[in-house]
Amino acid sequence: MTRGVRRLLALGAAATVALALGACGSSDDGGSGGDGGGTLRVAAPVLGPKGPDNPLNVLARRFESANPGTKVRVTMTSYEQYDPTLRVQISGGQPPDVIQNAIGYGSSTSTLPLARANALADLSDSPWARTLPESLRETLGFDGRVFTLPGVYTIIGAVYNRTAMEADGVRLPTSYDELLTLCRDVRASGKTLIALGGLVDYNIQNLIFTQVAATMSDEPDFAQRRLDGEVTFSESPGWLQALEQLKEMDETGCFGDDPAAVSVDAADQRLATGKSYMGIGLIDRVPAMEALNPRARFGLAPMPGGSADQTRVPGGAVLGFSVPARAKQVELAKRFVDFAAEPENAGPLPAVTGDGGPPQLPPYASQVQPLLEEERVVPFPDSLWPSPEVSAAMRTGMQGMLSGQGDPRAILKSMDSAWSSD
Amino acid sequence: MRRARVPWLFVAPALLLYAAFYLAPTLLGAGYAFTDWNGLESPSFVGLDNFSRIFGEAEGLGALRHTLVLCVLYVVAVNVVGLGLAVGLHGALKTRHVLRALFFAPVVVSPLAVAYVWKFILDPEGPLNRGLEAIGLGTLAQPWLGKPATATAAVLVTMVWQFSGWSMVIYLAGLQSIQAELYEAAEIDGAGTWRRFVDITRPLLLPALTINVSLSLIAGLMVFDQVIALTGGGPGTATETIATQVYEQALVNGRFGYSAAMALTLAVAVGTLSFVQMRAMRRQEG
Amino acid sequence: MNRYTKLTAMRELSFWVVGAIVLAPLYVLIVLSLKTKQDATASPFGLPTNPTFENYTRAWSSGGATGVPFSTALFNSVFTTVVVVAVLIALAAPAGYAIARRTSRLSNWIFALFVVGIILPMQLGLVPLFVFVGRLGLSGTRLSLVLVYVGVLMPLAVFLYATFFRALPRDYEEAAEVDGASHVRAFVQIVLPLMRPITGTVAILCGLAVWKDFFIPLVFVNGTDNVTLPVAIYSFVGQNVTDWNLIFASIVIAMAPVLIVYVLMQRYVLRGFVTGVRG
Repeated sequence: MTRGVRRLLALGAAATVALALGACGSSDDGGSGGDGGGTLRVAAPVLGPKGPDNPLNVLARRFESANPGTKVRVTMTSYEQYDPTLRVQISGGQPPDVIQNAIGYGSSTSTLPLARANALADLSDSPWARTLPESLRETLGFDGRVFTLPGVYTIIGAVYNRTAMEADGVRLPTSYDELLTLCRDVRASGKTLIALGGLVDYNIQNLIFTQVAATMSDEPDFAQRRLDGEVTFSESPGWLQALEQLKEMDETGCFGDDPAAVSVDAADQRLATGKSYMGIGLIDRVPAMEALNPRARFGLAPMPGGSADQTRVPGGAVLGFSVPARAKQVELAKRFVDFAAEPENAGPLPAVTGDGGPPQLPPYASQVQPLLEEERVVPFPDSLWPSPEVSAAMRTGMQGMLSGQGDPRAILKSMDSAWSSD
Repeated sequence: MRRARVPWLFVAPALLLYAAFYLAPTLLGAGYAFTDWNGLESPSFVGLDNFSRIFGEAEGLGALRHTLVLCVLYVVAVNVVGLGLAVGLHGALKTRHVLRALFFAPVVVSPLAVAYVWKFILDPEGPLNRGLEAIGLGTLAQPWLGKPATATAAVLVTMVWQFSGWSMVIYLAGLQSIQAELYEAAEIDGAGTWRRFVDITRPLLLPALTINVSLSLIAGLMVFDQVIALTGGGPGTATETIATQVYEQALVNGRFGYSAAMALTLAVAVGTLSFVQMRAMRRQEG
Repeated sequence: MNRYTKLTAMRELSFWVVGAIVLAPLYVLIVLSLKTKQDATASPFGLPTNPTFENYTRAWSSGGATGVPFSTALFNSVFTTVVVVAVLIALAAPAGYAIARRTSRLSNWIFALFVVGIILPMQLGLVPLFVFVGRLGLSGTRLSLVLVYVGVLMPLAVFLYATFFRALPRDYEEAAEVDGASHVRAFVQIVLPLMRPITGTVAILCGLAVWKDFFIPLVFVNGTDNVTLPVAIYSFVGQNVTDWNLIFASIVIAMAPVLIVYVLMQRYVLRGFVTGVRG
């Protein structure tokens, strides 16, 4: 429940959709895999279904049969603990052989901070490294080098309770103004439009990312220019607008009276039982909600922009495979990553690598699919933020605003100062 | 008689294991307080920079302030509740053994469960607010974890709920060390309940009080689990404590140097306060 | 003092009311462990309409995401806790004894050295300790877990023993020594039987600390077959909607042995404090 960890949860949630990682480990001892072909230790956050069907487990078994004599031990750690423990293991010089980490900057175990500190093995010579889309290269390494095989693709949107909305005659809003009106109407009927578990601030991060996706359409290069130091958050009209809209939504009652006091589980329960119609989440939240309430159907829709044509969704690759530089089995680990990159070993969705078109989303996300076709998907803003403290400042500030402390300008200022603090 | 000495060999194994597996690594870690180590690259010496940051930046000062406030309130609350329970359950109640076990039960519950259950109870639409409404106190209903003051109170209540059992057990032990004859003698002398408490119970309870205050002081200053699990330091940074910062700065933000400086600050605070408190209590005990 | 009056009855009743409030969160815990996920979503707090032990059997058989059977994790927890407590008692008792019986300046310094360990936050030494364990070639082993806990909890145990022995009159030992017994014999024959109460306290305090902790095993043994119960329980926390029912069932399983031990040892805990407190 620490900050970076919340972010990881957000990232983690991506997985079922894409390669769907995570797994149950095999039963051999992975602690002593020092010699020979031996044991390959793979560490990942808890993602996707548990058990042997988990795609990462499937991948591991395939790799074992393709490399007789090799054992792959997959360790899945709950997202809350994955980041901190991995960081201790890397700092302590005994990392796993293959790790699954966030690409770009963003968290303390993301590709760029680790790569810049020489903590990751260079994977530039791998066959897949040549076919990476240009748009991703910036987040996978520096100076033309590549350190991570991007794998997990996700989308953030509004998870909605279709059954409850149909029953009450509520329709999805297509513009920001419609959204506000709907908030008021729903409020008047005694319900809350959006169930926001604001007690845990990664939820808040997802909310901000969906909002900012639409308001930044006039500043497409903002992320890169912020990284180059040409602009600041405080100067960005789009960022200010996004936060002011969120403030307005909060004051209109879109999130209920006190979103900052609601836990994720309580918010999920409200959405599942139809006390709220929408929640902000990653794409795989939909099947999770259906598991909570099998009698209701759920879907994923984009959060509306100022008008329908301004609507954007945040999406893209978030997690990938990397090999720590001090892994015991660097060569074997590289072989594993290369193996994972081969198309026939990719997960249920097309890999992000290669020249394929946009990923095909599951039917429940059909409202989002057109945005993918029209390239109205924007990258996650924080993939180019140099330290995890920037997003921490954003989440903390926003959570403060939802509980009556601070305002949009102050949040942007704190993000700017977190940027320059190191 | 010349007192024969107990050989130091008795201490050696304990000291050795403690030094190797705790003290030495911890002191090594403390050294990072004077560096900018990020856990990955080799550290460089930065003198007292980290400390001036702690005392110069809002987040460091905020964590210090929250910790002190929480600690003082906790020490008072857990001791009042613990003593109340102990006095009540030391005596004639038929079911006192069951009740004691019952009040002790929260001690053994894992922090994960505690946090989950409390979060549900304290939800704006949760049973606490519903209950208040039901008994006509709806105006008292709060978004408990969503406002700085009530979130702090929630952390406090959770801590008191979980640990008053310990406090009670220690006070009970103190009470049981008081001989019943003393009371009987006082009763014969015509002393009332209050006089008996002030003259007999109070002075004899002081050792238990000393232990309880020390333990709760340390627990209050090092509060971590309850905060991380219940509020994660929020809303905003309203319940961020030194111990949560020590953890987050190092393992989440990769600022190992800054985190070590915070930890050292915490250790000095705990050490100083415990020392002062021990001194004061020893004097009281005479 | 000991008459059972109407007032006492009132007091008894009021304590039960307070007790019910204290137990309310535990009620939630147990009720949820007996419900299916859908029941829990529909009404988290009501009594279960169809109480089910399915969560318990599922928790027991699946073992979370660690890939280690729940029974193995249970064994690891019991093993680690028992060994750590045994080592602590075996080493901290004589150490505390020596510190209490030697009144030199050096003894005060050694005592202070142990106390320092109580007030230093554990996080400070995490990375150096992890490196050290690796250098010893013990990464991921049960032994590493035991050694780390022994190191971390030793100061508390020594502190408790030293405080206890300081309050314990030395008459018996001195008599034994006059009779020509060695220190070791005096310790084993005279002191050991006397220290049972404080040993109960040390065992409960340190045993609980090991039993409930999950961060140290997560860092030191995750990814091996040596994970403890809390790691297995935490691995039920999913990436999305968490199976709280499974978690609560497994928490109840994990709580049971501790409560049993506590009830069995309650007497000793109290006595330990009585004697400790008298000092």
